[in-house]
Amino acid sequence: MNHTLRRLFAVLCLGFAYSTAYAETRDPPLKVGITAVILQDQNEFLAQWETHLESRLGRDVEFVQRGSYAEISELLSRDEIDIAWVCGAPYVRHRDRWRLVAVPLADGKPSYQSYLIVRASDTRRRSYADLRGTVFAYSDPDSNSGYLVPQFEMLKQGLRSASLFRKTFFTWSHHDTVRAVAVGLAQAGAVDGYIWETLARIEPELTRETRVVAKSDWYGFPPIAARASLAADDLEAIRRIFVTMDDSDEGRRLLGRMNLDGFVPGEDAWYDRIRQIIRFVDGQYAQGPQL
Amino acid sequence: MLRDLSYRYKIPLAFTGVILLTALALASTTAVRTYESARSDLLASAEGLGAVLASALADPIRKDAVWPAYLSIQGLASAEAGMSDPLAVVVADAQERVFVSSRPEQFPILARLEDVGLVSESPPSQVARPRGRGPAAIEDDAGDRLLMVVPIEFAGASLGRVILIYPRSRLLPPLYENVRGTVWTTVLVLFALVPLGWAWGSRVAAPLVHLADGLSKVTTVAPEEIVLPQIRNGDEIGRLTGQFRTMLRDLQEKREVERQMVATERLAALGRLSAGVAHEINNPLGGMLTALSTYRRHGGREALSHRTVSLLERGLQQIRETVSALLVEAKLETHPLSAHDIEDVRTLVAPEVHKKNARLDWASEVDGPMALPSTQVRQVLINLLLNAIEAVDDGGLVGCDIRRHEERLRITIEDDGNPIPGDHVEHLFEPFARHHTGGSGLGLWVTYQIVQQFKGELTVDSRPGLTRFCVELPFTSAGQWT
Repeated sequence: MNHTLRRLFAVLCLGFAYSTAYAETRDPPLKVGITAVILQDQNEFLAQWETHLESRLGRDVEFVQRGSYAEISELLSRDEIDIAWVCGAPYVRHRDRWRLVAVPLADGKPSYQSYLIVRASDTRRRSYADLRGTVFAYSDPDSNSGYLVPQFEMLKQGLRSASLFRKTFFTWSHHDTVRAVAVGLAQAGAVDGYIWETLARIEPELTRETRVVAKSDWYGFPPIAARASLAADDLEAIRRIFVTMDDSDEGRRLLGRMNLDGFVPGEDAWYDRIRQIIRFVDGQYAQGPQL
Repeated sequence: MLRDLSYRYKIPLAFTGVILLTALALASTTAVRTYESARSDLLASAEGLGAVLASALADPIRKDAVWPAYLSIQGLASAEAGMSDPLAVVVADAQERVFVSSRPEQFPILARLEDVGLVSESPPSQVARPRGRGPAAIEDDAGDRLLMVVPIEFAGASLGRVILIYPRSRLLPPLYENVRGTVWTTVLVLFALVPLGWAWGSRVAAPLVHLADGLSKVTTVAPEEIVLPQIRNGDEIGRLTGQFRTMLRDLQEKREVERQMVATERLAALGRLSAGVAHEINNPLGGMLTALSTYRRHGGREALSHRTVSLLERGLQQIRETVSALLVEAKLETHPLSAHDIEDVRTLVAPEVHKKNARLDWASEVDGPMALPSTQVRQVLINLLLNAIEAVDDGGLVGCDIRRHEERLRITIEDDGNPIPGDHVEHLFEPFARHHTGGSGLGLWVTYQIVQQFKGELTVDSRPGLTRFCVELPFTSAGQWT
């Protein structure tokens, strides 16, 4: 017994020594937070993209997924991860702690819309005003297109989610919002327009069950953000990899899978519109004269 | 229509019917048992499933996490996507509203359970609202479904219920399988047993059919021509056949007796007629003969008259003889029959026997005088013997047996000549009925008349190789014939 334990201990020591030595010779892996701003449930695609990034970057890349935008935001703010693909709304809220790395181009534009969808069989409803008494699906409380924009659209029409809908629930992913509306669990939902259009290409049998009732204004596309503490040259190296992704065949193939044209460095001003509606919505809900 | 069907078909049909009925009874019994066992299997698995779901759903319900709850139950429902009757899962909250369901269209979120048919107020409010705290299986006959209701609890508080809804049709496939199995077995058994049934039916029915055919012929066909099945069994059919055979035999005997009676009646009528005619002829004949005799004694002597009278006399004499023969006279002067008389007859026929090179077997028990008139017995004996000798071929055999039998004399004359044709027998004893040349045609008529007068019996039995005449004469007191 003792003998066995001793041998086990020796093996463990060896293993530890080796991994320490290995870690010293290589950079720590780049931790990349992934949120539901893209179709994160395609494991095979993510693995290919991870490999692509590793080969371009010359270091290990580790994708990190969590159940909500808030968790990824928190991880990025606390330096637990290095970069993350986040939604525009969390980006503007955490602007002081995050750096803009790159902004994707979809359909040639660094912007997207929020879609209001209902079931395809529902041919009557045309706007939020028609949704009184329904069950409504939001994606994530921190989502721009899946929560903030619909709030804004309703408030513009003098409507409030709490009184308009009979019940609301979060699906924590745009993909699931489309599913929830498609099966009739919710009568309507707000969804990222880019995600809906991408699904219309790769899973048309799902989007066929839904109907786009309204499309919002254009907002800055969910950007790649880095923790503020990330070294400037690292940030630049990472940005270059994203911006030049369409230079290689593999990069173009992966962009095609994501239904994107490429990445650009981007400008913080592209997210001013989101800042405006956040102020508007927060102002509408702030009671009394204190604000 | 079925009633008129032959037993040949009725028995196999009944046989088939019994098999089918047995199979039906067995099939229904096993079907019920299969259904019950499928139901209890389903409920057992439903209870396990419900318990797992209830524990998995406690957290999402507490946190109002509709989508994760939906994913949990959707996984279960989609696991059955291939089935024709997938189960539905409804999760109810503590306020008896739908929290989430695998079929949002049918059971939308927040719908009250009674609005989606899961609680019926009458009769007893029960569906999806069991009384106890544990899992409950509920038969919803109206919805034709089975419900398994499992409470969702967290820290002792009731959060709601998981309701698994199975269409009853889920229980049908094993039932169909069972029924199909039974049907196949029945078909196989029928294949094996129906030919057996037909064979047995035919076997049982054949004698009945045969008997029925025989019975239907009784009125149109002579009894002896009806052929009956050879059955010696002691069962009803055997007894029936035996009775029928007896009946046919009786019928045959009755017909025979009738025919004999008719023949006897005819002969008696003929006898009366001929006796009457003979008397009517005899009286003028006697006068005519006496007149002729007187004329010959006293009349003319010329040759022509003499010849004419002789001719008339001979003709009238012949008429008289013929009439006398017809009119068998009982009251002839005679003496009791003795052995001499019998021997005389033997001597008398001996030349005829010799002429035919025939053999005569002679046996006589007559020793002393007997109470019978010798003349008439001799006449009977001679007539029958001459007939027999005439009937035999050259070198044939004639038998004569005379013996005392109780209070009768029995005379049996046999020959081995050609038999008397069937249609002649009936008219055998009528006068001038001889169907072959020679003889007066009165021999058997006279014999018959004599036998009748002495209240005896005369029978004839003729078949190839043996023709036998048998006469029985009862002994009488001498006063009757002397």
